[in-house]
Amino acid sequence: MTSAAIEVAGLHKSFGTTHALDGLDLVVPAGQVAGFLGPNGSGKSTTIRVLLGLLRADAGTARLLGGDPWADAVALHSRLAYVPGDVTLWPTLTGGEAIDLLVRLSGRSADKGRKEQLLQRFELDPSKRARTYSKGNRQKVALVAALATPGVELLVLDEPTSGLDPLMEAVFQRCVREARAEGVSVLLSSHILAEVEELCDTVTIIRQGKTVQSGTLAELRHLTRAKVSTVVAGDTSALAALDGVHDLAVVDGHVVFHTDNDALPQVTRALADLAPSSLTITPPSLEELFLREYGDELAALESDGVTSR
Amino acid sequence: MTAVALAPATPTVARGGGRLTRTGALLRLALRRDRVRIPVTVIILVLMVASTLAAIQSAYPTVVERQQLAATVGSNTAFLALLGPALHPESVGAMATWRIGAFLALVVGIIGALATVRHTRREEEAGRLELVGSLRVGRLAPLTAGLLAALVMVGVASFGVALPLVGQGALGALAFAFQNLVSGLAGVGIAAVTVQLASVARTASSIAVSVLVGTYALRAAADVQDSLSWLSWLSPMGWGQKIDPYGDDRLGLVLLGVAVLALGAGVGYRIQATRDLGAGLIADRPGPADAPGLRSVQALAWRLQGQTLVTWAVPVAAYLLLVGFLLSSVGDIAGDSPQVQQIIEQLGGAGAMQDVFVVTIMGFIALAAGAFVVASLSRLHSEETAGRAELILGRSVPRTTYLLVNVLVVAAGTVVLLVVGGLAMGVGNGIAAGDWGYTGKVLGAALVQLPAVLVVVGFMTALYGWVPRLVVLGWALVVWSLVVGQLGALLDLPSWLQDLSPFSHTPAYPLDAVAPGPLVVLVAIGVALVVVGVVGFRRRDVVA
Ligand SMILES: Nc1ncnc2c1ncn2[C@@H]1O[C@H](COP(=O)(O)OP(=O)(O)O)[C@@H](O)[C@H]1O
Ligand SMILES: [Mg+2]
Repeated sequence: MTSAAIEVAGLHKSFGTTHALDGLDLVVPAGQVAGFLGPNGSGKSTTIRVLLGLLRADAGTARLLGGDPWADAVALHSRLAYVPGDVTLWPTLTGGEAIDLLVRLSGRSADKGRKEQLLQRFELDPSKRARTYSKGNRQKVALVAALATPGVELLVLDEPTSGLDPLMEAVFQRCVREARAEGVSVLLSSHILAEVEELCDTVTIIRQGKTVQSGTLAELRHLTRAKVSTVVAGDTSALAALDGVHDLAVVDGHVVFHTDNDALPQVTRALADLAPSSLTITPPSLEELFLREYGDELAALESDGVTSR
Repeated sequence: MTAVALAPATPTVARGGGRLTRTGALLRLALRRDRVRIPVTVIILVLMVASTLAAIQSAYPTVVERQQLAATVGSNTAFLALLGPALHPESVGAMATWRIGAFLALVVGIIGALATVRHTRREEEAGRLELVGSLRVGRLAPLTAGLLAALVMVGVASFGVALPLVGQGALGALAFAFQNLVSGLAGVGIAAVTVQLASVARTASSIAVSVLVGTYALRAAADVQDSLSWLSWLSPMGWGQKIDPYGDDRLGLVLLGVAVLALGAGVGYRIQATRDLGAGLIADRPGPADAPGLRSVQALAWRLQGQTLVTWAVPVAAYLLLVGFLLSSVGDIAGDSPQVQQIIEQLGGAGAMQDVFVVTIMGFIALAAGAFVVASLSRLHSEETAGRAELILGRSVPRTTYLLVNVLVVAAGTVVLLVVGGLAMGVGNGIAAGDWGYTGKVLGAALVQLPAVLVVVGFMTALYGWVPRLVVLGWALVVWSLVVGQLGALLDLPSWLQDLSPFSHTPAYPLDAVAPGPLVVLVAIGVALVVVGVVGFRRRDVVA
């Protein structure tokens, strides 16, 4: 398909003196799962609210399912489902009532079997009053409502797993894959790199309201360098010489370095020769990624702060 | 509802081991959050007392006039029920406190109860207590700080309202402060228990307020019926009357309020020390897993608004039923005094007295309906900041529909409120008088209030549509209308200032005939403001 589910270019949005969006670009290809990655306060939720026609952009263009998010909001919303980052429900309604209500407000009616199945998978008791739900359970209500809405072409999910435990996160990932298999496009915002890596076809990384990287996951492989910590007895110079090994440092036999994922076969072979007594490989966190990719910029910002004081 | 068995209180921390640690810090936080609410509330109450005093001074400057007032209005059954007996006509202070005392004591009691709920159960419901509880804070510190904050509010209000009366005698003013204090302390004590019973703040508030209004009714019954006068000892407002400002000044009776507070707080602490966070003694029952009826924004609005409407309509109906019962006795106000009879004849006879009474009461009910509108439509703003508006508007619901449906449901609620109120008063009067001829007029008197209330609906919609933060200004309109209604003529306010209150344009039916002109204009303004609000809401950001 040539058309994109979401196309955003040069989006600006200010709240008073806060520039929440500062020329943001984002494309979600139809039928794909697009990761939308950025640290807290970088403008993910603001972008999503513009896409839902809740906020009016100051400048820039945004297209959603071929329509204008502000002018065509009502028609577009019957073709998508949204899960907010911070779900609050009506305290006196039960979870089940909230799900039925939300599905109907999209002009659809929930397929009872589908709702039951989702409730079971997410282990959610729908007869409890919403005020007694934990954050994770409120999020599950919104997720079930979104996934149980029939005829949806686009799922807009704002940090949907922030309250879920690992087991439920796995259930969530399965649901997203199923939706993708049915041809649904997905926008998934997150501040956790690993989650996006797990699920997404494409990734857009933003910082302070600007897009800093975007592409397919393969194109962004260099961003997902793993960090290796190990304790070895032997000489590490062979390791340091390998292609794809970066920033190797040795302190008292503790060896720490970063490695490109496609260099992993050579790296593990070389490590085996060194007879490691301990070994951990961790994916980089978003913070590390930003430190590595934009460390200079950050340092400049910080020293600015120091000198201006 | 299921009641959970109450386990005996067991100290969870060693004696003196800091169950109250950090109470002071929490109290400062609570008072900081009330730093606007307390002064605004107290200023409004002080204005009410000052205006009552001024009204007595200007309308009844001499002892003879005040004696006449006491002998006529003061001993009339309807007014006995509303205000209690006027015992000391020789004193201006006593007459002013008679005029406002029972009502104000009830208000201070309610303020105490609401403040208690706000600082305890609401914090818990909002999850903030969980955060606080995880810090190095004594187990009972949050409850203690909440009760203390409510007591500060009650104390400031009680002594504040006595200030305008100091000129009439300091001891009497102190007694008046105690009259309010006794009820405020009782309000805090009652709410200290209800916040433990209910896990929902709103329920805790309604139970406490219902109990207080109930004790006001006990006092009314005691004042009307001599054989029931003992009932007055069951009512904080009754205790307030017995304190008798500018009469016997029995300050010691304030201890009855202290006793209720001690008892309520004792029970509250006992339950608090053993129950789980977020739980109440009235257990939450599971609800339906499906919502076959909840199909639309309308259905949701009725569902959410219906409960609020009932909590307003029931007391309004109960009050007006009582007033209706007493209505026919208003005509007997003249008693045996020939001069007063003459004055009343000049005013248009006993029938006209009844009409004046109906107009006055309905004016208050209209303001209550206005307050209902402000409270209900303010909810739209909190729905938005809580993120629930986003949840709805993220579905395929047009903004116009969302706003108009909510506004129309509230408008329909005011119609219900006024019709129920008018019918209750008409029915009460019909039963008591054995004659239903006046019922239609009473209902009409309720319904002519509607256009002015619609202006409040429009005002709130316009505020919400353009600057949602400012919906609190709706309260300013209601309070302004109350002040104008009470004081406008007395203070000789310029007429344009009085005209700013929509309620000042309501015809005094059934005293006067209804001229449709002003009503049509009011409705037109109300509708125009709603349209303005919708236009604004369609253009602005919806912010979570
Ligand atoms: N309604 C608002 N008023 C003022 N500032 C806001 C508002 N909404 C968001 N912001 C600011 O805009 C920036 C981006 O916020 P947001 O989009 O919520 O970030 P994210 O979802 O990526 O964490 C933050 O600095 C935030 O404080
Ligand atoms: Mg966010």
